[in-house]
Amino acid sequence: MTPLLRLFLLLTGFAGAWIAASAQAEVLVVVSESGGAYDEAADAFRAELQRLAPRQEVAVSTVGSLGSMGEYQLIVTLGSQAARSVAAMGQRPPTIHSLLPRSAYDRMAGLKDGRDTAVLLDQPASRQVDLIRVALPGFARIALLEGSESRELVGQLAEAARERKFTIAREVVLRENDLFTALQRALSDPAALIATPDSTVFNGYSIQNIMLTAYRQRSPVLGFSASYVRAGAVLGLYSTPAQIGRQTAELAKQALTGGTLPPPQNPRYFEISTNPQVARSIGILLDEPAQIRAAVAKLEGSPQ
Amino acid sequence: MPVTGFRRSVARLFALLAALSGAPAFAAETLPPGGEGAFLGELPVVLTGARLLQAQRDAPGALTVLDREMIAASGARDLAELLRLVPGFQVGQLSGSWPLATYHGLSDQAPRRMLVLVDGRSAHSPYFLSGIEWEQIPLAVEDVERIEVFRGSNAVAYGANAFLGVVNIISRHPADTPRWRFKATEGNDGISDRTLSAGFQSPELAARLTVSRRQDRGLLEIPDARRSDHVDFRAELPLGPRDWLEVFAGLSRSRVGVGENQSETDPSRRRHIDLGFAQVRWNRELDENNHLRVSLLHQTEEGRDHYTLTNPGDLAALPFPVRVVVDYDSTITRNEFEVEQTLGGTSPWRMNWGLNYREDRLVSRQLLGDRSPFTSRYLRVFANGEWRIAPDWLINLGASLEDPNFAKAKLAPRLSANYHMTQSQTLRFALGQAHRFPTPFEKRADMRFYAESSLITEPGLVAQSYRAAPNLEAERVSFQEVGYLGEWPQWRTTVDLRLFRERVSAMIERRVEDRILLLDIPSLSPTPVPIPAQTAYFDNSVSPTLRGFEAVATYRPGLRSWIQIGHSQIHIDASANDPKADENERSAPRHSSFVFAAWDLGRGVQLSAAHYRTSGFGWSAGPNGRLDDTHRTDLRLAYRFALGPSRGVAALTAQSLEGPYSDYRPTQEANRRLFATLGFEF
Repeated sequence: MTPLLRLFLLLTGFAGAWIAASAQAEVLVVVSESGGAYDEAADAFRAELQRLAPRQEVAVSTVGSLGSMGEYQLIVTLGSQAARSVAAMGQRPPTIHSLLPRSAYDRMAGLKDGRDTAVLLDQPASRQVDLIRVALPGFARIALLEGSESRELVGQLAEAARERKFTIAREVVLRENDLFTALQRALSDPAALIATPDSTVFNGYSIQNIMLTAYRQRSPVLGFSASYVRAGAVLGLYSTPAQIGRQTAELAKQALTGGTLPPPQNPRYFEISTNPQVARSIGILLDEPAQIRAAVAKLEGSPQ
Repeated sequence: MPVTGFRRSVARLFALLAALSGAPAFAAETLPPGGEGAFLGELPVVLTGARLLQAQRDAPGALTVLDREMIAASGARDLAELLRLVPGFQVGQLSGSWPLATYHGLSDQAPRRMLVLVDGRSAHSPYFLSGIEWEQIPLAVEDVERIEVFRGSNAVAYGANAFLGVVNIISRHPADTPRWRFKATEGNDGISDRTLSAGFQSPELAARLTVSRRQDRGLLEIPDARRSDHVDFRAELPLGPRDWLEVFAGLSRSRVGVGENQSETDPSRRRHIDLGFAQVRWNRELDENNHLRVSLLHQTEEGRDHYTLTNPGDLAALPFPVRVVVDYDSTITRNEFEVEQTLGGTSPWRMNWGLNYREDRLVSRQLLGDRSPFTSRYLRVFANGEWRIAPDWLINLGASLEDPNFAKAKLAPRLSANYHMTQSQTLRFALGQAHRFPTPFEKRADMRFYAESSLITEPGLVAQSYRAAPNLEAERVSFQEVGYLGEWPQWRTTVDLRLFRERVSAMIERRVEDRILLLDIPSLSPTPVPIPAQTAYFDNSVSPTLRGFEAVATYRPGLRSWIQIGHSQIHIDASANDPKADENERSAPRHSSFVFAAWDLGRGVQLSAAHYRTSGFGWSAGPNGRLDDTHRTDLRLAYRFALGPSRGVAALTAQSLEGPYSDYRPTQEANRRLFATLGFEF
């Protein structure tokens, strides 16, 4: 190698290092794993942040390749596994934990008020009850199944339902064997059954029993994901990963411009989907999802 | 503990089944890690189009649905009995183990103008006159989810046997079954029924296994006691988020009394019928609006009923003993394959099409003349489109083309339009055509009886009850109907009216010809001995027309409380050339009505009652077989209670409070019945 070439390489190396330093990202997004919902949320987060704060650089890392975080101004975790890994690190910048359920967030250790916050997947209880009021005006009864992980959540739903003058059928399911009886009791008269993200009650295999019993008792199910609607729920209320990503970006913008972090938030943007086939089959005529969504948003004064 | 041990073995057996099927653990495969899996993961599709009950307002015909609560409140021990609660149906009992049910008359001792399906499987037997084998349906009444009765032809969806109506019996889903169930019924007339059922649910498999027995002494005066043991199995295995496999299997073993006391030609004896089937249905949701289903069925049935007569009937005059061997033994094998695709769902149109192939192989020396098998094969293609041309108009157009190997292929088209006048009221217009192919017996019957004796060198023909009708072709029905459906959920009331005209042409009907048979007995007489005989055969020449209406009004303020009133009126005009005009015209009651009510009295107590009234008619059994006006009242009192972790029900049922009644012929009576039931589930 000639000395001239050596000098050239040295200079270009310096230049490269300088460019890299000037483009140092201020926000690190940590995803539980790459692909699927996490990428969808990460992409939406980046696009929205780009729109709100065009000069902000975003780096993305998976849990597995997590390095030092000291140089970042803000950390965003997507998924509960990412949230737990980041929370376990001692020294770290303020963190927004996103795309995770309340149950996972509440169980996490090492969180500090003002330095940690969350954008949760759980829809507010009031919105769920409002949806039933808007979409199923024929139903004055709400059925709730309370499991070991959903006592508080079911309490909130019952409270919201009571405020809106619904009758409540609340049954406790502590063991797998309780489910059959609880369902028979809760749905002894037709009611709108609200599914909750408590996997001790609602899971991939209890769902058959729940959907079939509800269907037979002519009771519509309100699910918390699009999959629920495909499985047979009459109504679905949920936020897409992209909507969560968007809300997370709005919160990130706020955090980057100073101040402490607000308390955990429920989703602001949401989707409603319907299963008109199941609805029609049990004698319910539904409005279009967009119409229902607009009516719910209007009731709570949220963006339409 | 032995019980735990048994449970573990059952669990192991099911787990093994799951492993054999290669089913992946559904939850583990499809849910992302962490708590958000519940929000972002897939779920199995539970309520698919195939499982949904079509909204009555959108159905292309009149639909009556009997749900589990109604079935329980009726107190019915047999499936056929339930059809008394459907307007236009006639239900009777040829014997205690042979229920008869038909829609709009035109029937005999083996009603075959209406189709009965159990989870999509035909309950028609190709044996003899090919009626519905109610007694051989392994499904216990307690395992019935609902019965959907399509009143009117539906050959488009179900093929040629769905000539005048279709009864669709849908069993309870294995995921919606308690872990254990036990039920015992005891009553007069030797009623002693038992049902034991186990349910198993895991992410890899949901299964139900029911073992049941029905036993009683049958009707009064005739030797028709029955004991039927059934095993019924249904399982569902998720293969992935959009695939699942359904497995159905059953065994039925009946020992039933047949014949008559002191009869020379039809002696009192026991008939054995054993049936077994296995059916697999693979379902795939190609996408939300594209469902594919492939099913395979294999069924076998063995009947044993043979006996020897000595000098029966006219042979009594012979001065030496002759034997006549009667051999009704039969072997029936059925194989069926079907593929069906449903497209659309949320869009303004929906379509389903498919292909069905069925093969029935019948071996019966007595019915077909020798032991060589007769195989009937049916190939059917069908398509049905549903198009919502406007929010308040739904058009339904379909056709099926069926080609059997022993008769000409036939096309059955149907067109219907449903007009939703208001949110709660629908008018329906429908017209179309359907066919019914001759059964193997109607076409190929060769039922001969031979006398054997040491004095006769060759067995001599002494009777031929039926002969073949080689030119027999399919019969046809052309129908028109106007329906009205009013549904007022706010008043918990529905009203369903159906006005119909059904013209049957080339109807297959039994004819009888007189013959003289010659029996050669050289030792007795140099010339053959003449024996007068009557031989029946089938012919298609007459064309009756049926007109009438059916009305049902239901008020149902709660799931366990309702009052339902049904009425039907049928007028049958036989064609001018009909030698059995009177018989055909009186083959359905001019008027029949029912009231079915149940009331939840609180504290787990439910009282239910049904009253049926039917004007005189006959099951085409000649003028002597005509029934007078009949009525019958049933009453049931049930109490549901909790006992520790289990739920129990105790019920007392009385059938025909008025006393013995006839529903097949006047000389044959069913007793008033009283039985108590105790059931537990946990």
